[in-house]
Amino acid sequence: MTTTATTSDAVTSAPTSTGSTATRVLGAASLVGIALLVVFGVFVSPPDKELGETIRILYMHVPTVSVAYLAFVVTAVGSAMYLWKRTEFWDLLAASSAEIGVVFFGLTILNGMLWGKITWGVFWRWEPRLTTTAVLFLTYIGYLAVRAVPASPRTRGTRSAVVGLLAVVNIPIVHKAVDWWRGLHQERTIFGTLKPEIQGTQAFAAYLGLMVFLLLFAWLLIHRFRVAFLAERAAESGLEGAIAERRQEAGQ
Amino acid sequence: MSDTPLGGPGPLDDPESSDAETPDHFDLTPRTAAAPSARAAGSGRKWLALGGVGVVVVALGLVLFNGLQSASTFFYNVDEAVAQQPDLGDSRIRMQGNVVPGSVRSTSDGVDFVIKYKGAQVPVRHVGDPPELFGPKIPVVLEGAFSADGEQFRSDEILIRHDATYDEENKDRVREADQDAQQRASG
Repeated sequence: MTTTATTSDAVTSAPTSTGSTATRVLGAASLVGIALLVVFGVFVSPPDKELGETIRILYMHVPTVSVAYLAFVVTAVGSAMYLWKRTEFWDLLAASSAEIGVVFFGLTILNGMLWGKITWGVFWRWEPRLTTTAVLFLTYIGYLAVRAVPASPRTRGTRSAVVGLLAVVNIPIVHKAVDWWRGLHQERTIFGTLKPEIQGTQAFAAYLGLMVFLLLFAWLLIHRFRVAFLAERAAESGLEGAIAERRQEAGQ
Repeated sequence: MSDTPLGGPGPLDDPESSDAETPDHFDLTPRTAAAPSARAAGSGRKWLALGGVGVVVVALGLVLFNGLQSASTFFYNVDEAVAQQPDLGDSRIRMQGNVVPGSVRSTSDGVDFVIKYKGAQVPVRHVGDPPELFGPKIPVVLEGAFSADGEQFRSDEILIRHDATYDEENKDRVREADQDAQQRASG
């Protein structure tokens, strides 16, 4: 594609890659952390008295869902800030975070279903935690769908910010569903009771998993945000190309 | 648009604003766009769509909350099921309790056992293979129905209800539901 002088200026002032020293450090730390988690979660920590080896799914299940919740909260903050400040940064931050959140929430549902099959005996039941989880997942897929509807950046940003703010209301409902209603799912493992019911190496593996996945989230979010930023610049340069074309046509 | 700071987080340039640099004689209508009348209706449609999305999400929340409140009987505890058995009849329900130790007997097509919770007990005839963790230590949720005389529960699915209590192997511990059931039984 031929670029005009304007767009090549924009490209040189914008990052040409999504990598930087910060992301490389974060990435290396995430990968080392994942290796540590595998060693600790799979080999070092003992099996559970009742759940046996399947306890190891917890060291992934709790981190993936925690990252998903965090990602959706970041989306809500980004949405609120966009409605206030109206700057591209907050819109793209909300969108990037929602996308990562959907991936991690999907992973949570998958590893949860596998865990359910070997613990409960079934992949799925429409019990309170699982029902609210399904609704939350669909809501954020809806958020991404709203973003995919063709519109000007401002319209798209406003629409998705409203959805991003409404959708986050469901998170405390999902989180508290195990307390409010009777179901199959166990109670909250972390951020729950004052008296932790998980101790020793099991607790260490669970919290290690949480830390590692938080690093991973930060790493992915920075990259995804930069991709979104570059995609906006590419879309703009496409628009400017079209305008330049029209100018030429009108000048003839 | 050349003076717009593209790298900075400034307000996005609006090509339709009065300060846009484009002279009037340029036709900036996108070539693939619908007729101008349809574009004029776009603003109203946008707010309709936004309102619609809001209404759907709020309605979803309300339906969910009410639905879950009535579905708080995802299962009955054994004592509740026994108390309400005349009303429940032979309708399909879920029932939670602990397996009475020593009551488990294999049958040709499944397993027979007794389930208890808070002092109430019901004999169960289960058809099918019980899950791996099945046993007197962990609360179970049975899916099935009472027999016509209400004396027996016929289940075809056993769900294991593990709680958020984890413990490393070889530590002594009594499970809460079990403890609770025993306290009620002796008290």
